[in-house]
Amino acid sequence: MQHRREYHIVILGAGGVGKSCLTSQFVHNEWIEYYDPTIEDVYRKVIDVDGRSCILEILDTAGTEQFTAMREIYMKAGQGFLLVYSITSLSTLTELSDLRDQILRIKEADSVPLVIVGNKSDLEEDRAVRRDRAIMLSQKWGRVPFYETSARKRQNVDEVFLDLCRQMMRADVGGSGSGGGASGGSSEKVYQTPRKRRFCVIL
Amino acid sequence: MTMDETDFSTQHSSIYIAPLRIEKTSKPKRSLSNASRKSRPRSQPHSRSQSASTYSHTSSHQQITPPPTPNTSQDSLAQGPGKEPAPPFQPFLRAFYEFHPNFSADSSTVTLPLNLGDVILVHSVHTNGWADGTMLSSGARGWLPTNYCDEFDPEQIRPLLKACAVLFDKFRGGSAGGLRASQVAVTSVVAGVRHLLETTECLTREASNVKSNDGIRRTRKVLLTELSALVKTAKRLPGHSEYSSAKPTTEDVTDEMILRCFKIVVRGVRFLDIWNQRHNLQNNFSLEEAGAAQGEDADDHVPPTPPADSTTHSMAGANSVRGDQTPEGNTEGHDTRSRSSSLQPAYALARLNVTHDVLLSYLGSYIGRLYHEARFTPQLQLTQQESVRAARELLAIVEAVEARDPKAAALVFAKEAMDARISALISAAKEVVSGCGKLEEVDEEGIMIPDSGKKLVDAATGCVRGAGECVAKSKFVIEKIGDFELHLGPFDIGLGITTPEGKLIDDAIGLSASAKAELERQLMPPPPTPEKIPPRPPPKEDPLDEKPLPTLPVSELEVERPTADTTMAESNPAFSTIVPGSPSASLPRRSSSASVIAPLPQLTPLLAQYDNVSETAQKRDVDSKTLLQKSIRADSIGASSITTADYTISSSVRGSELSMTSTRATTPEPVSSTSISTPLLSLDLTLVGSQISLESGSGSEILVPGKQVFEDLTFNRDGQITGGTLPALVERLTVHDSTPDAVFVATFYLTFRLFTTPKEFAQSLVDRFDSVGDSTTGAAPVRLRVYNVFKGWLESHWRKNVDDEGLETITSFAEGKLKAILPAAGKRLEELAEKVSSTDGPLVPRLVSGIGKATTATTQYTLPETPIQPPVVTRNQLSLLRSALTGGPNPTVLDFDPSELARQLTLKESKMFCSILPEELLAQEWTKKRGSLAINVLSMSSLSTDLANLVAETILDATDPKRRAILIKHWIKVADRCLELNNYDSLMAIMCTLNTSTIGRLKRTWELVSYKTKLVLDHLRAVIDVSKNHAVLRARLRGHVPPCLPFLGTYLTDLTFIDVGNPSKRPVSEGSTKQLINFDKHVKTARIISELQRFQIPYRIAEVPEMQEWIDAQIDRVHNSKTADVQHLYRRSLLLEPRETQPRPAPVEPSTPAAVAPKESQKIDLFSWAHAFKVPTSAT
Repeated sequence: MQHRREYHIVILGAGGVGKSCLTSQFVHNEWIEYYDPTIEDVYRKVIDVDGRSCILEILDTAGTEQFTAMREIYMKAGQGFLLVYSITSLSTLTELSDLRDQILRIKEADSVPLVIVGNKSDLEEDRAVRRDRAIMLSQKWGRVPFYETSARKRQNVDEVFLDLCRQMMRADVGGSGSGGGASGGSSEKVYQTPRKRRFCVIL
Repeated sequence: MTMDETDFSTQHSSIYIAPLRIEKTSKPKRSLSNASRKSRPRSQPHSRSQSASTYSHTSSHQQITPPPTPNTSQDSLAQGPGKEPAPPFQPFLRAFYEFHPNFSADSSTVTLPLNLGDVILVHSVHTNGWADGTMLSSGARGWLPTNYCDEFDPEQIRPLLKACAVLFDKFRGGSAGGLRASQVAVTSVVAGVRHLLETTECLTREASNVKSNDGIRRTRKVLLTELSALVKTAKRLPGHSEYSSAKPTTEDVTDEMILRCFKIVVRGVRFLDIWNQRHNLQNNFSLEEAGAAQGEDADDHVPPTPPADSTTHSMAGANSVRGDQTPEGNTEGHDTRSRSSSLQPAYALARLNVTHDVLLSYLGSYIGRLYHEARFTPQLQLTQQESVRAARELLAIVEAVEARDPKAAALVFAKEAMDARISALISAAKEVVSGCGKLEEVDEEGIMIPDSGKKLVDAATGCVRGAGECVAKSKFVIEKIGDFELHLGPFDIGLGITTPEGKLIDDAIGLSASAKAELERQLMPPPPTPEKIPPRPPPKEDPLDEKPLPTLPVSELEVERPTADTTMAESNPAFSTIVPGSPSASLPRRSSSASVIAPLPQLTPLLAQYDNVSETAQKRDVDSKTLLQKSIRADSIGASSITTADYTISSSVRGSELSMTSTRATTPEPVSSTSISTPLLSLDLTLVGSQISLESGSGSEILVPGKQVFEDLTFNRDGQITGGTLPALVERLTVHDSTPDAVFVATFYLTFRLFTTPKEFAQSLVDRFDSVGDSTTGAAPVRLRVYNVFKGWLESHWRKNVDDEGLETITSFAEGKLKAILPAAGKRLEELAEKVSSTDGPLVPRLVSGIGKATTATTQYTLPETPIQPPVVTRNQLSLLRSALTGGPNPTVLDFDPSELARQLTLKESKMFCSILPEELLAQEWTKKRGSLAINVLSMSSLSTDLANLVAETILDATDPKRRAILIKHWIKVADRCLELNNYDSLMAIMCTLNTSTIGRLKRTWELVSYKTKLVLDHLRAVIDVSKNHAVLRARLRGHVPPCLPFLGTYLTDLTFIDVGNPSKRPVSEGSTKQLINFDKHVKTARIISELQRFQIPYRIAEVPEMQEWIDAQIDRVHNSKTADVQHLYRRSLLLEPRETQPRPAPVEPSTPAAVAPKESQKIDLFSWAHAFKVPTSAT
C-alpha cells in the first residue's frame, strides 16, 4: 500500500468568521447524526490530491481565540495555514497580518503554504470587505492564493483545502530550502482561482 | 404539605448537568475512612441501641435488610424536631476473642491479630463485618473482624477515648490547626485521664482505692507516666510559625504523640480493668482469663474474611452457623448492618453485586408492600428511602466503573437511565402523596394509594430494570478492564446525596408524629436474648449479660450465606424479607456458592425467553400484555418454587417477599446466561410466578394503557430524543404515565432558550395544560407535571432578565387556569413568579452552579486524610512579599519555591474555573464581543494569556543569559508542579510561552539549560501536544479524578464545534421537509458541559494570601502593560540575542530598525503596504 503523507493544517482567524464551520463542512460532507468533536480523529481526513492520497489533520482552535498565548503552539504544529476572515467584517481581514507575521516568525521562513479565505460569501448583502482588498493583501504576501467561500453553502470549501494541500506537497518535495519557490509556483493559480471560482460575487 | 415538594425537575437537572454528587465517590483510598469518620454524625452512646445508631447514620443506605430497624428509622426521621445532634464520638472496639488468622485472605490486605482485651480505634467498618482499625497497643493498622470485638465505651474512660480519637483526627485527619489545636487535643487527653481517675476515685495517691490495692496503684502510676510523656512530646511541637518549614520534624512529633496517646489509653484501660476487678464489676480482660477462649478450635469460628477476598465470604458465612435464629437476629442484623459503613476497598464486581442485591431486595419489598397494603405507609416510605439509597450507591459504583472506562457509552446511558428512574420513583411517590389532597390528615393508616399506586410499581419496576442494565453494563466493562479495588464512602452517597432527598420524601409524605411513633413501635425489635447469640462460647464471665456483642455481621452473612436457611426466615419474620431474594441474589455470582441452591435446569429456556421479553420491554415502554402472557407461561413451571418461597416467608411479610421476587423477575438478568448459575434461574422463575399472582391480585391496572404517540418526535437508537417540535418536546416534558427522562429535562432547562423563547415555552406549557382537558385519564398527572415544570424553571433555572418576558404568561396562568384546578399549586406558582421577579439568582440554589457545588464538594471530594500541606514559604519570603505589597522592592519568581508558585496559581485558577456557570458555555457566549455573560470563562482565558506573557516577561527581563536559563528552569519546574497538581490550564499557559519562538530562539540561553531540565520540558511538551485533537490531553482527562483543572480551551472548541457542526433543525425523516428542533445538538452540548462540571471541584490547597496578592499584582501589571504582547516580547527577544547573520532572510517583522537591520528593505515594504492598506480601511 502506498504510504500516505500526513499534513497538518492549522485554521486561523478571528472569532466568529466561521472557521469551525469551514472545518466541519470539510471533514464531514454532510451533517451527521453523531457528530462528536471530542474524538481523536474527528478532524482527520484522507483526501486525494492529483492522484495522490494523503491524510490531512486539521487543527482548528475555534472558540479559543481569546487564548492568544496558545496560538503559537498551534502554529508550530502546522505545515499549512488557512487564514480565514469574514467578508462581513474588515477587522477580521486586517487581523490576518499579525497571524501571518507570527507564523513566519515561528517557521523562520519568508513563506509558508498558506491560503487566504474570505468566508461567508453567501452574506453578500452584509459584505464589508471588497474582494480587491483581499487580492491586494494576497499580492503583498507574495501572491498567496485567495478564495471566497461559503461554509454554510459549502462553496469552495474543498477547493481551499485542496489548494493548501498542493502547496504543502510542493513544499514537501521542494524541500525547505526553496520556500520561495513553492510560493512562486502557486502564484500562477492565485489570480485564477478567485475569478474562476467565484460563486457568490455579484459585481 | 404542599405540592412544592413534588419537584422532580430540580433533582433531574442536577443529575445530568452536574453528576458530581454521585461521582464524588470515586476517590483515592486513603481519603475514605477518614472522610466518613469526620463527616459521619457521631453520637455518644449511652446504651447499646444508641450506639448502634451511631453507625446507622453512615450506613443506612447500605443496609441489607428491609424493613429498617428502629435505629435507622429514627435516623431517617431524625431530621424532625426534638432530636438533638449527638456529640461526636469515635468508636472504639475491644477484642473479646483471640483472633489469629491462620489463613491468608489476600496478600494485599493486612489483618490485625487480636488478643483478648485489645483496644482498637475503628476507622471504618465494612459491610461484611470487617473493620479497619488501629490497634492501640501497637499502633498497627489493619483489618479485624468486628464480631470478635465489642464496643468499648465504659463511662469512666469515655472522655479519654474521645480525646484520643480527637487527637488522632487532628494529626492524621489533616485538620491541621496549628499549635493551638494540638494543645487543645493534648489538654483533652489530660482531662480524659483526670476524669478516669476521678470517677474511679483514684485521683490522688492518697485515695483509699489506690492505697489499698497494689494493682490499681501500679497501673495508675504507669498511666500517669505515660501522660507526662505525652505532654513532654507535645512541647516539642514546633508551633511558632504557621508556615513551618520544619515539616518532617513536626510529623515525627505528631506520630509520637499519637502513639503516646494510644499508650495512655491502653494503660487507662488496664487500670480500669484492674479497678473493675477490684470492685467486682465486669472484668473480662484480666490476664488470667485471657486463655479462656483459646481452647476453641479456631477453624470452627473463622470469621468472615477481609472484604478484599470475595470467595471466602460465603465460606465464612457458611461456617458461622446461626441456626437457631431468634427474633434477636433482627436486632443483631441491624446492629452489624448499621456498623457497615462500607468504606473499605472492595473489588468493584463484588461491591456491584452486593449493592445490586441490596437494591433488589428493597425494591422487592417495596413493590410487595404496594400490592398488599395499598397505602402509603411510613414503612413503605422507609423502604422507598432505602431503595433510593441503595440505588444511589449502585450508581456510585457504576460511576466508579465508568470512570475507569469513560468510553463505555452504553454504561453511561444505562447509568443515566437508572438515575432517571430513581428520580421517577421519588417523584412518583411524591406525586402520589401530593395528589392525595388531604395530606394534613394523614394518620397511622397511611395515605390511601389511589390507582396511582401502580405508578409507584411502575417506577420501582423501572428502577429494577435500570439497575439490572447498569449492573450488566458495568460487569461488561469490568470484564473488559479487569476488576479493581473500589473505594466508596457511604457518606458521599448515603448522607451526601440521599439525605436531602430522604428528607424531601419525609416532608412529602408528611408523617404525622403518631405515624412515626407507630412506625418506631412496629419496628422496635423484641428485647435481645443475647445468650443465644455468641458465635463461640464466651469467656467465663460472659460480657454479653450486660452488653450484647455487636455480633457477627449478621446481615452480611445472611445475604451471603450459601445455604438458603429457611429456618432462619421462619423463626425471624421481621427478617425474612431478605431470605429468598438476597441470598440467591448475591450468591449466584459468587463462584463458591453455585452449588448450594438446587438448580432447576429445566427452567432455563423459559427464563431465556423471559429475558428477551424484558429486554425489548426495556427499549421501549413495557408492553405489559406480552409480559403478562409470558409470565403466565412461566407461572405453571414456576409453581413448585413458589411453594418454597411460601415456605420461607412468614405471612406478615409475604407481600414484600413476593414482590421482591417478582421484581427480580422483571429484571433483565444482567449476566449473560452462561455466567448465571442455576440457582438464580430457579429463583427468578419463582418470582415470575409470583408476579402473576400479584398482577392478577391487584387487577388489570398494571397494564398501562397505550402510550401516547409523540408524532413530532424523533429518537436515536438509544431511545434518546433527537428532535421534535416545541409542543412535542413540551409534551415529552409532561408525559402522563411516566416520569420524564432526567437527561431530557435537564437538557431542556439548560438549553431551551436556544430553540425557543421563554414566552413561547411558557405558552406551550399552558397549551399542554389546556390540551388534556377533563376527559383524558392522564389529565391529572399531566397538569401536575406542567406545574412542576413551571416550578422547576422558576425555582432553579430562572434566568433573570432573559426569562422575564415569560413571567406574564406564567402569572396569568397561575392565577387563572391553574388555580381553578389546583388551587395550592396555583398559589405556589404565583408566589414563585413574584419571587423571581424580585430576586436575583435562582431561588433554590442549583447544584450546577459553581458555588453550590463548591460547598458540597469540599467535604466530599477532597482528601481529608492527606493533611493540607503547609505552604512552602519561609518567613523571609513572606516578609519579602509583604514589603513588596507596601511599596518595597518587588521580589522575582526566583525568590519562591516552584511548588508553591504552582499551588497558588492552581488555587487562583481553580476558583475561577469552579465558578463557571453552565450558561456561560452555551451558544458560544464567551466569544461575544461585548456584553458577554461568560465572565468566568473570559477571566480564565485572560488569566492564561497573562500568565503566559508573565512567563515570557520574567525571562526576557533578565539581561544575562545565565539568569535567563535559571528562570527558564524555574518556570519548567513550576509547569511540572502544575502537572503534578493536574492543573493543565496553567501548564498549558507556561508551556505555550516556553515553546514560543520568542523564548525558543534564545540559543545562548538554552545552551545553558541543563539536559535534565530539557528532558522534563520534553515530557511536558508531550502532555500538551495538540495533535490528534489533543489526544494526549483528552486521554489524561478521561479517567481523571478531581481535583483537576483541565485546559478550558478544549471544552470551548468542542462546544463551538457542536454548536456550529450541528444544524439547529433537523428533518423528521430522511427527505422529509418537516423540520424539527434538533434536540440532539442540545443534548450534546449539555454532555460537554457536564463533563466540564465534573472537574469543578476546589483544590485542597492552603492559601498564602500574600503570594496571591503578589501574583495578582504581577498578572495585572502584565495585563495592563502595553509591551507584554507577542510583538513586543519578540522584539525584546531580538534585542537580547540578536539574530545571527545568516543567508536566510529574516521574517517580516515590524520591529525596531536596530533589530532587523539586515532586512530593512522588506520591512519598509511592509510598512508601506500596511499604510496603503489602512487608509482605505478607515475610508470605508
